[in-house]
Amino acid sequence: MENEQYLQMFIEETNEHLEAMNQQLLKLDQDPGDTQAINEIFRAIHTIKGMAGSMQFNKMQQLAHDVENVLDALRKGEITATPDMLDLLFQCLDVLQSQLESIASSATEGDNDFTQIIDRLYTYLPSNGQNVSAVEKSVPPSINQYVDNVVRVANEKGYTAYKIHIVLRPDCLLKSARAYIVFKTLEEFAEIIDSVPSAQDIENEKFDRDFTLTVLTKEPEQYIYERINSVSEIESVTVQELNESDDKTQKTERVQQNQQDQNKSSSGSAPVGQKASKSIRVDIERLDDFMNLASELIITRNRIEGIGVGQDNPELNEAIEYMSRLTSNLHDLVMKIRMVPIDLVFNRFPRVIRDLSRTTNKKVELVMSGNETEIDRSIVEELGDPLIHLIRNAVDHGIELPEERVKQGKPEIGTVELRAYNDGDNVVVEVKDDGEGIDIAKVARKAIEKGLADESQVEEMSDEDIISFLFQPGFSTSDVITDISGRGVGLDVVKTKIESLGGTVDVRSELGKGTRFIIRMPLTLSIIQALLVMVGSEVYAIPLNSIIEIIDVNAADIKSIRRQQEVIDFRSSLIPFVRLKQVLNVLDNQQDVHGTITTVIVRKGDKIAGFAVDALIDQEDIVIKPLGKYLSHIKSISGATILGNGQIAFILDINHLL
Amino acid sequence: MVEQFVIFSIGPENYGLDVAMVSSIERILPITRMPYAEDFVIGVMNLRGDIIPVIDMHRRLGMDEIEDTETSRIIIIQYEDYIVGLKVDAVSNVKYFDTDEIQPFDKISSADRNQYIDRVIYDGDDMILVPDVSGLLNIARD
Repeated sequence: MENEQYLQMFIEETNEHLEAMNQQLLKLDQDPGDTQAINEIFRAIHTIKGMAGSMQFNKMQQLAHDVENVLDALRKGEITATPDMLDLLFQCLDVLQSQLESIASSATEGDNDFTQIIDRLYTYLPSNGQNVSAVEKSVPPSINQYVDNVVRVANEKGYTAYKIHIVLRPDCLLKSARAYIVFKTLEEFAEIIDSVPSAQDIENEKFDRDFTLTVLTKEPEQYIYERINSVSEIESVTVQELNESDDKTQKTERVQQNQQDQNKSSSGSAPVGQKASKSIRVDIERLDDFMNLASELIITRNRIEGIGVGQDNPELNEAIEYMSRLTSNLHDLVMKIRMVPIDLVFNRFPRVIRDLSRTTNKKVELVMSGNETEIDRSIVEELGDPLIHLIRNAVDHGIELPEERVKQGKPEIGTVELRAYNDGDNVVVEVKDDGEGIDIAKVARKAIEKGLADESQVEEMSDEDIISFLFQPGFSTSDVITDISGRGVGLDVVKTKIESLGGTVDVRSELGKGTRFIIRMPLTLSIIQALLVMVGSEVYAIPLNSIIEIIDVNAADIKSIRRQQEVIDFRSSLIPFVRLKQVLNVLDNQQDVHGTITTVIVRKGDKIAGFAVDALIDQEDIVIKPLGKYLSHIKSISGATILGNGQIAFILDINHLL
Repeated sequence: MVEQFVIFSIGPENYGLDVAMVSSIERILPITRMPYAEDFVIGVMNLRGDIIPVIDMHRRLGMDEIEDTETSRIIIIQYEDYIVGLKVDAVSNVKYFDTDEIQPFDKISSADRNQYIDRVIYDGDDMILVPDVSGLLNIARD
């Protein structure tokens, strides 16, 4: 159990450090002389190395070690950063990332071989590469020398070196785990420069009950003592200041016996790391469970509300109303907890652009804004792939080669703009490039070629309709097939993915000026406001955010075009009139009504239509239940919900019904 | 080697499904018609908060439909990632069979409705048909 907990901690923290490393590498890429970035990367990789070591992920540790050597040489100015070197460092980052993923999925390192990449790292090191290593070698004599040197330098900079002797309690079960916590605690405010026995041996539990660490810190002795003492299962801690030469050390040794009696009474529950923290990590699954429970509560609330309406009991209704408010607040709160900044996906794009511009020889600048826009965690995770597709498309098909751009009077460097913002209950993400734009005529030709439409049809089509061919499976207008895009997969996958999340994709493009993809996503997935309607004897839910208005249409005002499509006049334009009863094949013995027909005017994107229903029931917060894989091919129904009485109502997917 | 089967009846015939595939056996619950679903999918049901599609096995096997009876059951199966309910006339038994009692089913000589049958078990005088679930669910449709 405990090991699992450490593993989780290791994965999360290593991820953070890799992310930091990625950002700093990008900075370094912009400015190879950025010493701050170098230092940050060094720190990140150093920590990764330490953590990998303490978890016994030796391959990861080894690779981190060698990356660290290169950065150390960079830091000391012995070598300078070149684009090739950065490529390699990025590759190392990728390898570390995939290694971490393998650890996350299988808790083992797998059998990848890093020798090649490590050999390549060595080529960047100065000839005496191995000697400039900043890394603690495990050969004892050099340790002392190393420690002495470090202590001298540290003293000059105002740090004090301490030797800390720690004895674990005899009944301590997970000795290496305790030691790990001690290491972690110390690392918060001190740098550990030496350990006896070696860190490796401590991790392997190759020690009796005590170990000695040498650390550098600016914190006073008493503080170190207290911090370590707060770790449970420790019998005693001795902190001793270390001066340049060990022998002459003034002994300010203080042995303080842990108050064992006190500890025993609260066996093992002693606080670990008492630092007050304002945030905690929560497993996403627990949040999912939390949200499910909140959702079930809303269903039950709706049901009780239904019962309350039938009873003339003010006291009951007042209580129900209060409960109603509470459950809404509770739901809002869960949603807020699950919201994360969209930056979580955005932050990997600078790297994508960098790699793309190097492989395509195009000059591209990425401009991002609205990174702080928040969206439900589950949506963010799904958004990454479609966005990468669009960004690749933008660079590969959109942005022209530098010479071509100059010829056209455009700035040599192309711009890809990624923008996120809130719009009502939606989050909008735009991917915009200032490249060559979509050639409508070419798309139309291709559509005819592929047999998707014939010439006369295409002639009648609006530009937007023609552009929408791009979202057809297997449709690619690219003349050249590259390994980046243009394999005929892409836009249709993007569209399918976004729609499966309840979103929409729109394209705007101007030939020669650029293209803009607009993705519109719901803020949250699982609860929406919907209008419940009767169609025959069946109940359907229409998402409220797609409803413009509800009107009564006179049967006499319904006209038909070419005897097929019925239309009505809405705000002085003709819109399709859709009889849901027919479209949904609802069996109904009732005759068609002749007076007025209740019509729900819906909109998705630019399309507007009127849906004829038999009656309106109510507006409710409904919990979206997935239909499962077996029914996922039915596009016109996006999900189902369970009504207060346990009955199922299907949620209409406006997009597919228009 | 033995395999364990859930034995159930549809019309005059007995069928068996590997127990590993069966997640539960339910009494008939209200079923909501689903637009656009295949004709043998009679709708979906609310199984303790989950939405489960239900296949009427009479329709699927081309038999005449019958009214639900006291013994009618819905067998909830999980096949790959698909979770589906199969409405059957009765569930009779859960039984172990030796692997050598289970034989491949000869499709050519059999009636049309037996096209989804994969294997057959001879249990004394009884014959138990083991369907090929992928074909039964028509998963290859897309």
